[in-house]
Amino acid sequence: MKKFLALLMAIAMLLSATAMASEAITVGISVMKTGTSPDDGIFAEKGITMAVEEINAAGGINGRPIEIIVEDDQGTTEGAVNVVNKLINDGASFIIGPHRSASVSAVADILEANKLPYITAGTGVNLKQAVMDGLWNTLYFCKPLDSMQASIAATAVIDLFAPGKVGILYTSDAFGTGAMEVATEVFGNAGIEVQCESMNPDDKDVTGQILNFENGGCDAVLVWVHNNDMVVVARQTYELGFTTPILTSGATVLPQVIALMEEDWVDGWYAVTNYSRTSESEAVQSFRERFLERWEEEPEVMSASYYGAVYIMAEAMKNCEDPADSAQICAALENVDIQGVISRLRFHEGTHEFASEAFVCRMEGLNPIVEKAVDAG
Amino acid sequence: MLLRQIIQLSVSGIAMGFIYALVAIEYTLIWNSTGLLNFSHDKMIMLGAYIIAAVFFDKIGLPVYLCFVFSTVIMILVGFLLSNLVFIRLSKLPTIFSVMGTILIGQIIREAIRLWLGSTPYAIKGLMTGVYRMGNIAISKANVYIIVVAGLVLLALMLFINHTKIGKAMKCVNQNKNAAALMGIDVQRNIMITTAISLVVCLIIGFMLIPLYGVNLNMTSNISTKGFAAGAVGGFGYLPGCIVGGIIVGLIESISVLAIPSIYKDYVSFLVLIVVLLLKPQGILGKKA
Repeated sequence: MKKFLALLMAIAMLLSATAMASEAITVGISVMKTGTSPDDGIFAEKGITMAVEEINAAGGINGRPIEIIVEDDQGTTEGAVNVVNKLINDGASFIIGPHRSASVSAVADILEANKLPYITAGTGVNLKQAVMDGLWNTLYFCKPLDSMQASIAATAVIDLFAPGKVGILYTSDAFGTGAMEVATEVFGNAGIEVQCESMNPDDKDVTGQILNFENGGCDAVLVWVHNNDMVVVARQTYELGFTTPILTSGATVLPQVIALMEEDWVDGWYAVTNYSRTSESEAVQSFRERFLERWEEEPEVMSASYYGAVYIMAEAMKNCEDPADSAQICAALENVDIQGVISRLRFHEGTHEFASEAFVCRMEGLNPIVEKAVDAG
Repeated sequence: MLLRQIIQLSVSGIAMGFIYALVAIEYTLIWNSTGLLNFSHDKMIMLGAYIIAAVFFDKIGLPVYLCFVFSTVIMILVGFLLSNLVFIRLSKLPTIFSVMGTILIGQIIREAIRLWLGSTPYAIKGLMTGVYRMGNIAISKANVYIIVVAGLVLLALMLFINHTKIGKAMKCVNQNKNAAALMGIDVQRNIMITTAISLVVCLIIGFMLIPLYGVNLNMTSNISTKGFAAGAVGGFGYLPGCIVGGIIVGLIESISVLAIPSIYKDYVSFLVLIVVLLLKPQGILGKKA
């Protein structure tokens, strides 16, 4: 009888261990599939889905598959709070997103209280400060922060154009203002005079700002605006015959932005981006091929960034005794150092950033050509 | 240099002013026929642009002029449907509910477009691109087309309303629906026609916005509120007032960047609106709504 009971127990333990090993690890995804920038969320979801499919096909995390729960946060703070609360209730061990910096700020205290790790490509300067101040210890970044990108862009303006005076055109929100402040500081340190002009998001006319740069005698202009606004700036600078050299944020090289522009508008412009389809990097080209095969469309920076976020998470989970344990994941994230698509992805203590590389591209017509890669890490 | 700046800014300001004027007229048409403040027409402008650029141009591949013709038919049908299913019913509700209803209709239209046509922007490359150059002054062809087309549409609308039987019936319905019905005017049919015309105006605005901004889910943000401001500044419910209001708002916000930081440009039109409402609530041309 005793032998029989022992056998039963052994079988039960074996079954339990097997079940544990194959039990899916729940990962919550908060993306904006509706609202003002749904294409960002949809591209992000495609990158995440592809990465999860690849990891699961390769055997998952120590034998356990990843199961994702994707929720639409609409790109709003209320939406993000609702989504994150739902994902916590659904038992997520890790959260990817939300993307908007304001949304990240809105959910940060909730996730901090639950000690739940989350990673975002939201890159507001305020987020980095909160992490550095030790307020949000479970927040991680899979994309270089705005401050880093703006600094790279400003340095590139100095290197490329050696200007005596620089114009900065930026959107009047956190994205544009944060970059403007960083770039102004870089130019100031180099003894370069700065003229700032702003545009409101979705503004349809920037004639006044462009003419102000012309009258101000700027030798180069740094443009830091959102995707659709970049189209307006490109068209109007071209139509006004504005020939001053221009370097922009990554919006110029996005396929959905390029699709709206004409060749002459941006020919000769420069842009700083984390992802360029023309990069010769093997990681970029391999990712691009797989993405094209999976989704039949060109990937962009959001898909590349969030694809990397999944691999950062997976790498950390692999090194955990229990890959679904949030505290263990947080500890393991600090040892992550892998090659991603947009950058080498290694943990930076203090700021919780993983990516630190960017490309400076020159536009040949509508074709972004990578001039150089910059590692600000 | 300053003269060049003033001329350049004036042209773009007048062009945007005509767009605002058309938006204000679209408000006015629906308001006059149903007594409804339609806050969904920015989405209807977007719908028009998507039907032309995404459906007929991109998906079906028709030439632009045919895209416009077929889109006009679609928008007229949408106008008939909207008036019967929504506007006539909403106009019978208290204002707060009817306004909320129009806002929700706008959200439904937006999300339906997103689900149907996706969130990737569309464009019609080559449409109204290029510039006219006179010395060091460059005037965008798009702005010239906007001014000419919007001017013609405004003129046609005024002639239609003042000199055709249907237009005069629209004015009667505006003044007193019961009396108009007693005089044999089919009020419901009149509202349907007005809504259809309004939707065609939305289509024209959407078409003219395509070269300025492409076709995307945010292409009409701000236009609705500025069009409303234009109508109120010029004289809400009065067509010539809408034109004057539109041009004033467009010019002031464009030229304001010469004097104030460009970040405040969008607020100038609303400041003008508040000043006009305080000094002359019925609008500059003085016609009561």
